[in-house]
Amino acid sequence: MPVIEVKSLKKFYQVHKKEPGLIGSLKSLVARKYEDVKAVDNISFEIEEGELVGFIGPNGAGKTTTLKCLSGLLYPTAGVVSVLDFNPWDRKAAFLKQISLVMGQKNQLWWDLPAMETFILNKEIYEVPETQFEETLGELVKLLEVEDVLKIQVRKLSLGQRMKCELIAALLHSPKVLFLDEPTIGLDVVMQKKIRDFIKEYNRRKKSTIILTSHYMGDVKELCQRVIIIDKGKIVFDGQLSEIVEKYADHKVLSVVFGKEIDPKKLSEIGEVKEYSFPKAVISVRREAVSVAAAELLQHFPVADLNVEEVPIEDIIREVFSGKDLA
Amino acid sequence: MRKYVAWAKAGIKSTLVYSSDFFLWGLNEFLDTLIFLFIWMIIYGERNSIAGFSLPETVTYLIGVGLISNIISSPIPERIEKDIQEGKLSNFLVKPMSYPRTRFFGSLSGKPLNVLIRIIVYALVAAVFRDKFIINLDATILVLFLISIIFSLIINALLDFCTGFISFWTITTSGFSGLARTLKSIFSGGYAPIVFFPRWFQITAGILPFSYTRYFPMLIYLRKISMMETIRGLGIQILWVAILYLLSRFVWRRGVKRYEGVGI
Ligand SMILES: Nc1ncnc2c1ncn2[C@@H]1O[C@H](COP(=O)(O)OP(=O)(O)O)[C@@H](O)[C@H]1O
Ligand SMILES: [Mg+2]
Repeated sequence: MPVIEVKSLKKFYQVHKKEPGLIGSLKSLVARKYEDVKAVDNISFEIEEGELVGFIGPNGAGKTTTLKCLSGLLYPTAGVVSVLDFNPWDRKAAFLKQISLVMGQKNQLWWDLPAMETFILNKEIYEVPETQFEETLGELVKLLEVEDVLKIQVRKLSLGQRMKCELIAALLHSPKVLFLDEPTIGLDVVMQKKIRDFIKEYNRRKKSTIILTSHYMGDVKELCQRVIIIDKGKIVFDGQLSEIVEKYADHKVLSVVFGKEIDPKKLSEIGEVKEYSFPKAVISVRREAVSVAAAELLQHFPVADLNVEEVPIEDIIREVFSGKDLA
Repeated sequence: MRKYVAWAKAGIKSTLVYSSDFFLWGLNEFLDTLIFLFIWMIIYGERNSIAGFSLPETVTYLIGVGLISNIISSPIPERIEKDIQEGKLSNFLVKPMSYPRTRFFGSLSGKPLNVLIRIIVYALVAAVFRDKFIINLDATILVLFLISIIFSLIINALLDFCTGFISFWTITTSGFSGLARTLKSIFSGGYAPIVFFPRWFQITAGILPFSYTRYFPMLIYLRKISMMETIRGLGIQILWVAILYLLSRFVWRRGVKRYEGVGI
């Protein structure tokens, strides 16, 4: 029994269309014209208990809209959504107590108070027993290393510290299902890594089901085995991250370090030269031709070092979004 | 219930951060009211009474109405507008708690400190006009007066919710809530006792709920109405509570549906 089931989900926003100019404004006062924005257009997927799934796509792809439908904030235009056997938009207390939604840009912490006050408040809201609260809080605080910021007014915290506290506030009631919308947005690289490590560890320990959205490959590459890629409201890929690489990267990358100067022209006989600046070169070679190319390089060039690498996932995704058919 | 108490507590702590502001507001209020009362003294001049109100009665009325206004007023409409526009309402909808209840109890949380400061401010004003201020110590009257203020507070909060929920349909409600506030002040008798106005105005004010939030409690205090009229007025207050509760609940439900994007 999957924890999350989405069947043919559609969410269209009706936006009021105004023609330009004064006449347009007047016309729209009399007869409003509406236009559908197909934010989510017929998507289906299932997620099992304990999975950590990356939901990725460029800005405006429909990620936030999907999470809002799953957490009951938006009523779908069509389709079936079931989360923990509930209709999310009934917003039953029993359902809301088992989920959490964290939006990177929307804070729930009380701005003028220390984060601890919000935690205590959430304890009451979710009716968490005192001992369980202490235990969970202790564990989260230790994992995120925020012991010394809990008593400081939230407005005085750094963005990273605030995000950590947001996560704690969202997790105090030990939700079974966690929706994270761009949790690393705006953070520096070090902090991004800390948050990612935390999410991974949390998923491992608690076996909670997590969907994490990002427009940003780094997040997903390190965290998730399964990714769902969405673009323009449609799912363009759903599967193992490693599968994308196997299926859609028909090239591999040879990085070479030469011992002596070489003739760059000759290099292009091996494959497509992506970069050359002595002593390093990066050459893209068809997957099946890799061993031949490597052998040739070693035979005809003064090679000091040679590495065969997969094409970076970012590049593959970029190709996916630029319209290469994945079916 | 505990969760809303906890929310109110956090609200109190949050307002205390700005407690130095309270002093300035208080001073501002004090000066405004003094000037307002001096103007009324000029209006009275040599006259003994206007529409049955003697000068001391009017002075007491205006001080009382000022205090009641401050006790019952709340930042609810602005709050709701912000929550809807900035999408913060989502934070409440994904939690097992009621948004309107949270905001109502949250608005109560600011009250104790606020009321204390206002009582001091208006007591000072009354001290300045001590030869004109009527002190009524009749226990029955005072109890009825307090009960009517509690209903005023609830009526006012429900009106505030209805105004605030308009934000579900419009981009900005500040123009609208400004107009609503002014109408509310006039029709509730905030500027002058309603009997001072023309007949048609008095009839309109009688039909609207506003006069039951400020005018009516002060009529009780000043013994301008009989016991029968007082009981009847309290009954009408209860009726308004019921009507406005149902109305605000209806508007809230429609609004949330719109927020969720149900077929609109
Ligand atoms: N409330 C709204 N009204 C109208 N259009 C919207 C609304 N919210 C989002 N959209 C549009 O729907 C599409 C998907 O948005 P969103 O789900 O926020 O994408 P993402 O989170 O992937 O960046 C975008 O084209 C966006 O402009
Ligand atoms: Mg988004």
